[in-house]
Amino acid sequence: MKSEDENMELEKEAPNLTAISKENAFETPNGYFNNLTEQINSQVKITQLVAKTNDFDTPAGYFENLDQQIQSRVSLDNLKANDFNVPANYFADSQKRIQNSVITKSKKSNVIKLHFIRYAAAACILLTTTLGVYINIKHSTTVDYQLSKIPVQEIESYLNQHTDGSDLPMLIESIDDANLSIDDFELENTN
Amino acid sequence: MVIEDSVILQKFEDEKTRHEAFTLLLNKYQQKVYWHIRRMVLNHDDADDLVQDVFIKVWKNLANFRQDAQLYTWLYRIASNECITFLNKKKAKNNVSLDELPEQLTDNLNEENYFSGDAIQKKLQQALLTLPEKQKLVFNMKYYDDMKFQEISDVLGTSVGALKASYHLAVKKIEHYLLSTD
Repeated sequence: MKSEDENMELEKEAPNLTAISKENAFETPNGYFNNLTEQINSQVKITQLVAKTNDFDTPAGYFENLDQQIQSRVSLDNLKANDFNVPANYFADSQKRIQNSVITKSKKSNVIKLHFIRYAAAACILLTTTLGVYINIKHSTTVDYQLSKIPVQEIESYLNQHTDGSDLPMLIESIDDANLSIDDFELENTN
Repeated sequence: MVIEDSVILQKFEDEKTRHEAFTLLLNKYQQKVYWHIRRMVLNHDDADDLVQDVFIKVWKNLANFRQDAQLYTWLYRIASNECITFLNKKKAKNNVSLDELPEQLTDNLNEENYFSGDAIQKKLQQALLTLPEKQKLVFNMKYYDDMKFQEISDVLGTSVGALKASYHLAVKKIEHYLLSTD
């Protein structure tokens, strides 16, 4: 009776819905339910076999006491904990802080070391080269050096051709007494 | 011949007759459970997988079943939970929104997927897909399985008053959908 009332109420409330047949529109493959019992029983047997293959065992009453054991360990750890305090988030931030400081330090030292060696090497090469060039230039620009490079015959030839009276005082100054005598000088001049 | 639940449970307690009891249980309830699941997931293959999962859970837990509840409401509860878990996983796996899932599910409503309904029955299924999953469970159990609100309450653990409100709201939504899309 109650069900009929409910149906009447439903028809009033939802005429479009109640107009649709309640017939099952879904189907299953042929013979599906005939095999379903067998399929599920097979699955159950597989489950049992899988469960049996778990040969690991625990001591008797292990899981009954596990809860207590864990709680005891936690209490023990709490007792061990010291009374010193650290700033808030100290340990949370410590890893980042240490990493930052390590990275910064190593970067600085590497840069300095590499630059010093490079600059020192460059400076040495530059200094050596400059010094060598300087000494070489200085040495090669002296009158003595340049005269020493001119063969004696050429000097003699030059003096023979270009000497005049104004050169005489300088020639006199340059006369090495040990090597030349007045006679030699006179002889050469007259020639 | 209908076998009483008490007989099945009694046989299940005995190790020697456990498999026999389970076969009796399957024969009695497998179709009901299958159709309950099928109406929720629509697709036969999904329903097939789920019905097997449900009965494996039943096998594992039947020894702990408290006989203060009815066996079939307990079975329906397991099946309902499996359906909701499955649909949530499907949404997450396919990365579809709540709005898109009904479209995907109704696309499968054709003869290849064992659906023989006409256009209006397909439209009813589309209307049902607009309901939240729990509300759809309530509607299916009341409308198709003719279950009492108290029995549905035993399955879903929701008060009878809330279930009545949910059912009437579902009926209104479906009626509105059928009218608006005509």
